[in-house]
Amino acid sequence: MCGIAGIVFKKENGVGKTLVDMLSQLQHRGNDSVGFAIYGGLELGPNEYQITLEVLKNKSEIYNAIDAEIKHQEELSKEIFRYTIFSSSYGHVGDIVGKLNSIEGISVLGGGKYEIIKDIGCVSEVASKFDVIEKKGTHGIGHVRFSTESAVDRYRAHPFQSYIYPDVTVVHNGQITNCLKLRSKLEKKGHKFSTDNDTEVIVHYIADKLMDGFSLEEALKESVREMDGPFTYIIATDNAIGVAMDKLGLRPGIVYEDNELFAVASEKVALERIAKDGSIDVLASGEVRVLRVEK
Amino acid sequence: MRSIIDLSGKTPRNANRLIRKYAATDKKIVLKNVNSMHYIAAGLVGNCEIEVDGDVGYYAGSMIHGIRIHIKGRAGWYPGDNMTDGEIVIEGDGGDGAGQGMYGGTLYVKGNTNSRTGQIMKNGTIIVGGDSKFMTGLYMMGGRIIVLGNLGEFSGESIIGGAIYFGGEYKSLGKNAKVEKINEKDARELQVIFKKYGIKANPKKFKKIVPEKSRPFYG
Repeated sequence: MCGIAGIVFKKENGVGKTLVDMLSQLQHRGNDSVGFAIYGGLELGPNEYQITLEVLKNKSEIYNAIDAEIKHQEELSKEIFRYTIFSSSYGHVGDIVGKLNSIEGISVLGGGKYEIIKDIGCVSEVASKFDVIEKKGTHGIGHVRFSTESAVDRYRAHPFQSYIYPDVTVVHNGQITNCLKLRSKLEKKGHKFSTDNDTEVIVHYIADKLMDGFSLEEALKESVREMDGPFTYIIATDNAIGVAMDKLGLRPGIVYEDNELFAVASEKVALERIAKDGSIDVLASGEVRVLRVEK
Repeated sequence: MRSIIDLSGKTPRNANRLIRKYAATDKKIVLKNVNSMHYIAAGLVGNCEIEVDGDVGYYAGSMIHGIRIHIKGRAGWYPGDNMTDGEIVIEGDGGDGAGQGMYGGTLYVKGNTNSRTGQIMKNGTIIVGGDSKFMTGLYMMGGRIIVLGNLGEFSGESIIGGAIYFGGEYKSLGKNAKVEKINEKDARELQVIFKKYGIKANPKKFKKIVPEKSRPFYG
């Protein structure tokens, strides 16, 4: 059991506050960890990327792994550091992430042109620690975790990311019961997994489909067809969020729209602080939806 | 006596303690600022009437006996779960698993219901004013589901007893489910229910889904 939320603004850009409002209402669905992926709020140049790390030891080795110019670095907490780098391509960023993850005591929490925030604790603690309420952007996703498949730590907190396609992240409620089979197929295609979490399979699966030229909606439909088990997940890309529900409809999902925003959540209670007079739809079994950012 | 209870800032546990306290003495309770709270009136026994001004979350009216609940908004998953007697009327949509496992009483959802309406229900009546989607009446053992609109895929999946009446179309049938014309007795019973709830529908236009075999899996 976990709580998931996603938001796309049509005009305003208070993504951080809105996600905090939604996840605070979903706290009862899990208090192991909290995570956010916020898009459209970073002022990065064409070749600039942000990498966020958990550093438990071997901090000095970071500079050997980042073979790119570091524009800016920031200590977000005692163990979480953020680097803004110049890099020639997203593929190079993926290589740097691989090198960093191979260092003992260092875990990459996210990297790209969006902002990742995830930590152990409840929503109010994490939101306060990282000033999430102040984060602006166009869209984002968030998660409160009740761990069922793997350990409770920052690394396994959602959102998860794939580094083969830029800025694809996912939050998930449920289980993917054939994840090992899907993971094996993806590993044979060259995907590198960094955790034992079934959610990581979803993000690699979708990234793989996007790489193969599928639209986000097509990728979501394929996932519903191929993935077994009870799940609802929200995927975010640089210009959209998408939601998919398993074919038996075994995990909840609700979609809200008004003149200002689209929102997706595990349950209606998440909308209590943000909903006005918009329309609410309950997702049906096997349904997918894509909500695009208007640019 | 009629009481108004403001549930702002209350946990479901504290809200239900208050509801139980007032239901012991009052004929009617009005709940304000419910904010889609889960478990409203769960396990409540008596003959009190509860009016909910807004939406409710999961398991609204779960395991009630004798209580009448009028929800003016929509409900999340499992309204009327395992209720044994009483009545729940929902003005909006009814979520997944509406009336699951119910033993008695009536659940009337004026809007649509999502997947698995009335799953494993043993008795009682569920009325859906709109459509009921995927696997309506899954493993249903008794009672009746009345859907004024359409049914989704795998309707009556593994149905063992009872009947699903529907006024529209169905997408597909589940295992052990078959469609029959309704008989005179069915039509009379539907007419009584329609009259009671002010439903404008012609019972003779309804069909029903019933079990194909009474012992489908064990010979």
